[in-house]
Amino acid sequence: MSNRILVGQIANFLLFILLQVLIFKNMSLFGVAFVFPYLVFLLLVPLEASSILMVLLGFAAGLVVDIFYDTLGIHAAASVLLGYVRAGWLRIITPAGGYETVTIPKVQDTGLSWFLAYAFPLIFVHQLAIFYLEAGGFTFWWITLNKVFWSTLLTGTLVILLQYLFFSKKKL
Amino acid sequence: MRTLLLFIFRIRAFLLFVAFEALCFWLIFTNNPYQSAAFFNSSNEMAATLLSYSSDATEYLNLAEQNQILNQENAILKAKLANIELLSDINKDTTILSGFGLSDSVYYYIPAKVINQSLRNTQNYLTIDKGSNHGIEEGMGVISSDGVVGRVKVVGRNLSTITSVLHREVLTSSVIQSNNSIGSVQWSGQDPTIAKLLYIPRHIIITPGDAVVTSGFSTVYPPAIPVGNIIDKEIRGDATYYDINIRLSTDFTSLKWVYVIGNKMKVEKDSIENITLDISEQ
Repeated sequence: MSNRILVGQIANFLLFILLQVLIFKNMSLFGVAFVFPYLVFLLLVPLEASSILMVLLGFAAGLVVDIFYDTLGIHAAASVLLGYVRAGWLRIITPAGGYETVTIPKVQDTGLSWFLAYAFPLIFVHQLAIFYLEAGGFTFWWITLNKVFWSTLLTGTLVILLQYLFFSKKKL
Repeated sequence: MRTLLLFIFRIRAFLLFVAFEALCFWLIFTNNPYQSAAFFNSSNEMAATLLSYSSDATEYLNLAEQNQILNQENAILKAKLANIELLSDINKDTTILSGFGLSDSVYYYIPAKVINQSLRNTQNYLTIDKGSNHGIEEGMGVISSDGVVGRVKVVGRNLSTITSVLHREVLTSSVIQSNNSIGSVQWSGQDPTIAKLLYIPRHIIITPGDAVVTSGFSTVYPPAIPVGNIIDKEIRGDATYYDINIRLSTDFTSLKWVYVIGNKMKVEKDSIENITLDISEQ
């Protein structure tokens, strides 16, 4: 991992977590859709990152968000789950020859359809963990699932929009 | 051993994942009261908290009404005080009554709040927030600003149970104020606003609307505490006593504050009466 990429990752971490806790913290649509732009950071870690690294990064990012949300442990647990699942999911959706030009899976570089297939299941898993942990179990099964569904859609859309806003296409 | 280590090394990512999830869950349960409550099912505590909040809230909603009741009571007490001052002025020169000033009053009052109450049973009880720590004893009378409420049945350290007048087995010694005829008030068992006045013989003239007050013969209540007002009377051909319905003065449906009455002479009165009984039996 070159220094340039490392600096870029640290910048991502700060940028998207600050966005999350300062701007998007209290934002929700109709009380059912919530947005979690800090996932942009976790989704855009270079593809070759191992599960171990991803678990550590997920824990760090989740913990910072938790501190601001006063939900100690919930975002951390969900992000650790996302981090661990990501490596396996990537192995499944990577074509046989691997990726030649892509190290960071930005939507501009991977193409929209690949990014949707990559990001939405991960976001969904993350939201599942968040909302069921927050609800304290499966008592409010349908209400919680409703939140998970709409939040996944909204967060996924925002994750893509934010990339168009902050990143440019990789120069070849 | 080597294969085991290799195996552990191979699943190191998974183990790390599990370790971090465990750490996260520990954080969740130790730091978030809601999750702990939901998972560890401390529903009693939650319910209790909720109930105390709701009690506080309803108390707040009733403030206006309670204020009004207290105001009315104040007015009545002021009127009584004025009477007493008048009497003491009159009696200033006579030495006969000098031993019976206000400070020597036989009765004393302990205010208490009603925290639980039943109305719909045939035997109704109230719970108040004062107990033996506050000087409450078994058998004391309980009144509200409007009239009699009942008598203390069980005393705890900070709570007491009161047998309400709305109890089939409670008889309250009463008199009709206008003609001083003595009877007993007993609840009829259905309507919490209506009771029966028993043992009024047929030669007494009864007018609906007359006030029924405590007699003061028992040591439970002081004399002249309102019990109710006569609604109607009925007498069957050969009966000795009237059937009289009275409307109770105390509105049990909105009862919030009561006074427990202590009697400084209770022991003396009871013992002296028992001695009398013993002598007459010999």
